[in-house]
Amino acid sequence: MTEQRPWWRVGLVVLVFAGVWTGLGMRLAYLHLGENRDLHAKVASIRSFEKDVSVARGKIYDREGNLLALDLRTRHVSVNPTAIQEKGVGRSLAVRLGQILDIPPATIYATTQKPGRKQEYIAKFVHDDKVKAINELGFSEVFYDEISTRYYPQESLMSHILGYVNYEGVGSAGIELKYNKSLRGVPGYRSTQVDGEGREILALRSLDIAPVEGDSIYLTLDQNIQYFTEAALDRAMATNRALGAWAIVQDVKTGEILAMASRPTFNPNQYNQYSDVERRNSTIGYVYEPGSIFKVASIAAILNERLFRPADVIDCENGAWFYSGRVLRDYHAYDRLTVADVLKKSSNIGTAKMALELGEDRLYRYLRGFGFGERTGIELPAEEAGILHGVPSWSSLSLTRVCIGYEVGVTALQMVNMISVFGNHGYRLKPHLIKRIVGSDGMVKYEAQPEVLSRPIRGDTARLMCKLLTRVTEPGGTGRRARFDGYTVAGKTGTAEKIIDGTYSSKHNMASFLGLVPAEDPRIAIIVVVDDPETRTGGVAAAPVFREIAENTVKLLDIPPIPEDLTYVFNEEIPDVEQ
Amino acid sequence: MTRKRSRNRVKTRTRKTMAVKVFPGAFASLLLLATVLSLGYLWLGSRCDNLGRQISSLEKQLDQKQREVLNEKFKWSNMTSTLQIEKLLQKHGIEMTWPSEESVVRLRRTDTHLQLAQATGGVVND
Repeated sequence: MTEQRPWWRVGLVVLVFAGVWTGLGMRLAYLHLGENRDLHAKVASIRSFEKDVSVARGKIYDREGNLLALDLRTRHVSVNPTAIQEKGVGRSLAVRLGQILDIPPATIYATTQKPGRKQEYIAKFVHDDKVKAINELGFSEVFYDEISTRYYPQESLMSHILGYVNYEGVGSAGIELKYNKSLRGVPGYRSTQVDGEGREILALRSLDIAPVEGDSIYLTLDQNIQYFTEAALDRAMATNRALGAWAIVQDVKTGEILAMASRPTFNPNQYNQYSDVERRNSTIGYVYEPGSIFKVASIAAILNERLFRPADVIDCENGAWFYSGRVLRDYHAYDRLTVADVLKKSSNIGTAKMALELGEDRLYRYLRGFGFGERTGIELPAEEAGILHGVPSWSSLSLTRVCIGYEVGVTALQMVNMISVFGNHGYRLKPHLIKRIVGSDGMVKYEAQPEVLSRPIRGDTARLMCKLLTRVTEPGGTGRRARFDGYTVAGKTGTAEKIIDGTYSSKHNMASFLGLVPAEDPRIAIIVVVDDPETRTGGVAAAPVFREIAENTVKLLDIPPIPEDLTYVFNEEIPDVEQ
Repeated sequence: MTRKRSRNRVKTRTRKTMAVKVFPGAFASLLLLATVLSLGYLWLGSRCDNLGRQISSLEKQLDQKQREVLNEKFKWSNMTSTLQIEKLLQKHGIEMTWPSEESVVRLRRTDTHLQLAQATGGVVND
């Protein structure tokens, strides 16, 4: 007996399956062929991928093409403490990582033993070489985050000029800030589609705008001159136990800044670990009363007006002179001095008496012509203009004080730019730090040219000032410590009392030396300022620093000594005004 | 007999005609063209994918090389900094001094070649 097959059941199953497949087929057809705008948009949004393509910031070089700043991709190194504890590899990992990263193994071990943690940072900004060495250890519990960082391979060298870039990649000081727009470049843009695993489908890349790397900036600074300058300042800080020191080396003939250094300093690679004072560029950001070095500008104005000749004699009142109800004193008492000796001995009284002949208006006009009371326009942010009040606000004493460097505020850059006038036939050039800017395509976008700002004095006065200033560094002059073999130095010392608690303090000084080398045909101008040195005077604290910087600079730039028959040697002979 | 033969001939002809109508040459050509186009499309797609992978791989390579170049530039710059050179000199006990002025020979361009050319009657182009 055979059982009758239930055909209706088979039919039902077939019907159900047919119904399901038909339904699925219709749904599939509907999804693919129907309007479904929302659904299409959703799929497109999942597949489409748009991103800005990051671009490296432009590089900064010195005048010789030595790299000073660049963008570098580094990695933050992390570990997985939970996995390390499970595997029990904490000790060996700590020892080996410690060797590579120069971190005490105990510190790493303590990090790896934190309970319940999946990620702990071991080191940040680790370079590729070290990452490669870590990878060779084969620890799967170590992983990385990639990050692009601005790096300064020379570390603190030129830090005040270069500035730094913050963690958002924005220039925040120095050249980095001033030329942020030029350095940052233009990010690229990419519109494309990705597959289910997030990989880009190259064939569907619809828009690809390549990024444009930032411009490269070549500075006028010389890495070697800068190094010698900074090293000399470090020694001066230590010898004089000073609060600070700063110096500038300028090319007289072009206005280019060859070195610009300030102490205290900072490392731009770790800029956030330093105070505002350490990050301040005092050469342009610190305004101070210059004292005696300012006499150079006043006496140049007096000689340019032909009110006095270098051999004329001034009564220096034996060191104390009452004028307008106040006494003016000389550091050393002198009876009578020639104009040339007023400069050599740095007589306050002699200079003030001559300034009275010049008058307020003319002195003010000359000082403005030398660039005091206004920014020089150097390519750095936060440059101070200094202080030079207008004549209407001068008191009856002001003329006799301004001419000797009080009641005025200057920056070191203004001073060095002023003395460069003497080496440049009376022309004042714009000091500059940018030599050229080169685009990422190699095209030169900007090339610096010397720019004349003013001509405060005649050429003959400029030459005469060089001769007179040479006497300051001869035996018996206040700046004799600035001399060095083979070259003649024209310069001037300055020792200005600082204002402490509202009054001038005889115990706290700003010591400075301002000079030109070689005096006969000046090529470089240098200023050295030492803030509150123990040794107090400019001749002792600043002049030796000047000598050290100048001696190295003339050799590095291969400036030959002037032949002996052309050298300025006075032997008590006073030069006359060249007509 | 003759009629039968002729009828048979007609029948045969009719069958042949019908077979041609079922799979016409134009349709076959269309199918062939569609197949060729499809295969071409697939080949092009595959080629594009392949090129895409190559571009992607080369982009990664370029990126890696640029990264290595930057790293080497950084290291070179660090190594050649005056500070590092001074440290190395100290480490190896090497003391360097500037040459004295007597030791320096400065060569300056002279007009000797002009004088020589004039003396010999030659043409000078500079």
